[in-house]
Amino acid sequence: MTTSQDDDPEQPAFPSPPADTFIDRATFERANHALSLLDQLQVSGLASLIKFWLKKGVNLALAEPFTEACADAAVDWRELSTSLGTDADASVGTAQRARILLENTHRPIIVHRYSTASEYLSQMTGANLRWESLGIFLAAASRAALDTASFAPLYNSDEGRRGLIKALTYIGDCCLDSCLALDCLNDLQLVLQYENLIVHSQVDGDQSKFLE
Amino acid sequence: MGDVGSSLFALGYHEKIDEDASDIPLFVAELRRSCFARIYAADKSLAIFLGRPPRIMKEFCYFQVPTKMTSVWTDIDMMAKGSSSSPSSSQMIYGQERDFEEHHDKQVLNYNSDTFCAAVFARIKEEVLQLFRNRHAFGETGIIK
Repeated sequence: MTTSQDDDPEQPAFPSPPADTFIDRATFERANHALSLLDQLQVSGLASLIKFWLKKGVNLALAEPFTEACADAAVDWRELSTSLGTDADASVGTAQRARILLENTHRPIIVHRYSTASEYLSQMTGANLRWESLGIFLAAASRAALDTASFAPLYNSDEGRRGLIKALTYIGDCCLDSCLALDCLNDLQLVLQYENLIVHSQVDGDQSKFLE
Repeated sequence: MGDVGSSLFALGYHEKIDEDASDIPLFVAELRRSCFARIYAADKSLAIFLGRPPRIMKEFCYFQVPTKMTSVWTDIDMMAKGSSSSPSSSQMIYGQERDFEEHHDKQVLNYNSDTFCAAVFARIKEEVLQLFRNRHAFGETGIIK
């Protein structure tokens, strides 16, 4: 909470959402929530876990072309965020980054007949990082943790592993919700929806409400 | 599953995906065909495992599977390996080679071939589900004939 917010009892807990018509308060707060949780994770450690998993020849069945790029992009995003947000108020910094992600997610992915795969990928990584990219990263991390019994320093017990998988699954759901709330369905969101479904089928079982 | 199926329909990927007619590159068309195949297959697996009706019926879909058995995202792979090949010279864009027929004899085993098989088997599963559904109405002998 900032000083100015303490002075003003009318000030909301989160910084105000932007005036854009495509981001309403609920979407903005959902995205803030997801990013604040994501900031608590060891992103570089998770990226290492994913790469360890990929080296076994395993991958996400549908998001296969994006997995490694999304892991790298998440690490780059975290490093950039850390370097920018040294002295700034944490909640304001999170809100600004959540807004950037929402804006990127709202932007259509442009393709034409002669587009290359690297051009496509550049629209979901780096400065163009989207909520879909983070969702794919988290889905891959969940699946990698499911397949890896121990991976210090992320976890070295079954209890720690289960806790991490639950957290990754929940934050992944928040990423997907943030995408869908923007009502701008695209190929990446469909891929993310499918991978999220598969994660839930493995974490919660096929009879779970998440698969209905 | 309902949300994924609805998104598939909303994007229109239950209809024929044609890169020539849609001004999209081959790798995007392949991604969309894979989406259809994977989601269709997952729907059948859940329906059978849980004893529920499938949500995506092939009568209402243009059944399609990935046509390429090797990666059509090759220029990304090449970039990752530090290749100096420019995207415009990449072989992946037009996908003139390596289709399923060419690789059939080599029995390529990867996620594309897995997607292909899962969808083809799911189609058979749907037909079996329909046979079971209709057996009381029409009699099993009549169905087999």
